[in-house]
Amino acid sequence: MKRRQSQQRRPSSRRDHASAHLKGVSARHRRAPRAGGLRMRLRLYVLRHAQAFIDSLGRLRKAPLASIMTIMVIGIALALPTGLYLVIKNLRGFDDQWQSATQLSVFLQKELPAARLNKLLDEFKQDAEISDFEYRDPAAVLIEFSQLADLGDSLEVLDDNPLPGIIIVQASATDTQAMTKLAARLEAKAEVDFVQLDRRWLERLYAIVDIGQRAIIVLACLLGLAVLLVVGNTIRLSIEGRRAEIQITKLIGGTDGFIRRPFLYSGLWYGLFGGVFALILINIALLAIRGPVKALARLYDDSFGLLAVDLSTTGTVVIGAVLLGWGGSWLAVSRHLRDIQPT
Amino acid sequence: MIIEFDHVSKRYEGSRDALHDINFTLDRGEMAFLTGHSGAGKSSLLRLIALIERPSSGRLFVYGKDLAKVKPRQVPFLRRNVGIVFQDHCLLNDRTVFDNVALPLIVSGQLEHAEIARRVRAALDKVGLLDKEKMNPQRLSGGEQQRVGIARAVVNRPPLLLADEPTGNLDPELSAEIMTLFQQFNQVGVSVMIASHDLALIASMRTRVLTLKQGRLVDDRVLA
Ligand SMILES: Nc1ncnc2c1ncn2[C@@H]1O[C@H](COP(=O)(O)OP(=O)(O)OP(=O)(O)O)[C@@H](O)[C@H]1O
Ligand SMILES: [Mg+2]
Repeated sequence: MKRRQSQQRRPSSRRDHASAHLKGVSARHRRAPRAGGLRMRLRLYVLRHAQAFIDSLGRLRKAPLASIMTIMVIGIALALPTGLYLVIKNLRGFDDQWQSATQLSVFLQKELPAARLNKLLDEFKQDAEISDFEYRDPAAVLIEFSQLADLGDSLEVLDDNPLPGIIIVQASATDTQAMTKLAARLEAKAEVDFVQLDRRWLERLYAIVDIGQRAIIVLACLLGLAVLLVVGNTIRLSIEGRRAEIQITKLIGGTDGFIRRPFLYSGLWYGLFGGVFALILINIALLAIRGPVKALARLYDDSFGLLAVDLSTTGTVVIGAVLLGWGGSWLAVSRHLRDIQPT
Repeated sequence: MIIEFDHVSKRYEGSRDALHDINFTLDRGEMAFLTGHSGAGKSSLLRLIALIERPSSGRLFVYGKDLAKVKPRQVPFLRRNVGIVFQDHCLLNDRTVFDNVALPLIVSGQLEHAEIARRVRAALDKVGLLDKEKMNPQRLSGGEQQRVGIARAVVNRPPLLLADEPTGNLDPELSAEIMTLFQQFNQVGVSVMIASHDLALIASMRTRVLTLKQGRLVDDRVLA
């Protein structure tokens, strides 16, 4: 009977009534002992995240095989571009060494009188752009040439020495531009036939290194995408496996953020472990090629050192892996969590 | 009032109205049963209140809030004020009874661990399962699982409790026990709405009964 009365009263004061009840509800909640104060809230916030962080590690352990497979795939995918990057990087260090040793070969006119030759050598001595030089007379050049080309006796059939004298010039500057300019200036001298700038092979090396670097960027992008997809797929499967739990959590008032959190942290763990695994792989690989690299280095007067994973590479790999893991799980979570609604 | 249906209809895609032009209100502190044959629309009605479904037409107010104006982001916060008991318990079997009951408090994330533990034990005490808190729900009887579900629904003290066939597959004795439990919550001021087709049990409770027939509200009275 009481109910009928309230129904009759309704049309006149429905809104007032409703809001009074709403106030009643929130007042009741305010009275309930709950966390007040900014510090307490902050503490609870940090606590919640720490808990989700640790919980998600436990989740990884619940499906060890799937977790290990995912981590290994991430590790291999990241080790590949990182390893290539290290090789290219060391190749660059290597050409730095050779760049400073770059020389100009100044080919003189044939049958240059001794007076003019001496005058030229004097000029070279005064030249600030020439740090050092060495004159080789035609006979010396011929011997060197025959040794180099392994022509041996065949040159002896020549009556005349067909070769000019050469001055090997060590330039003060090392950059291509300055050297090209110096070469042009020397070539303009009457005593000089032509100047050879022995940088063509270096430029080829540059081009190769450049292509290599670009290839690594492309490779890193593709493999990074692969890592995103692998983590995304693993997280998608784990979301599927927790469908009922997600539905229940939504029904009792869990926000998307609350439900998302452990999955995002799982992705972060995958990334972290994957990155560490990649570094382990790279270090093992470097250890394996240590011998041959050492032998090669000896051939070049130890002008370059052993390949090594430096601190900044380590940091980049780990941070990149964590971001990729997080990103991959974020993709999966934002794509699939919305589809799971309570029924 | 806590619930107000104002010409509410619900039509699922490709079928006739599961609920048609429903009008009723549930006052604060009131208890009501929702009955009707299978397919009458009992579950659909409760799902509308819990925002699991949205009305096709009409307006529905819960705590005076027009549910049509509740954005998806706000849904969880509204649900925290509505305790729901499911027929199939919906418990997490990889967690203990304690953790299941604690879930609504953890989800809202506003309480310290000690306070959570205190409230969970209070709720478990209320349903008489304090000694089973460390057990896995799978190892409990049907009635015990149902009571864990009830403890979870009331643990954060919602002003409104919804139950869909809470005694669905329990024997009469256990059913009566569960209903008494709901009555006790009602006596301390919680509004309760229970969908059930156990007419004999409902008749013994002397509370308001809403009867649905093919989606229409055909009867609304206190069974005596
Ligand atoms: N998700 C859905 N999609 C389509 N139709 C649905 C859906 N849920 C329910 N229905 C239909 O709506 C009508 C009412 O269903 P509802 O589940 O509300 O009935 P009920 O009274 O709870 O029945 P029961 O006592 O068997 O649980 C039925 O005809 C059912 O087929
Ligand atoms: Mg039903």
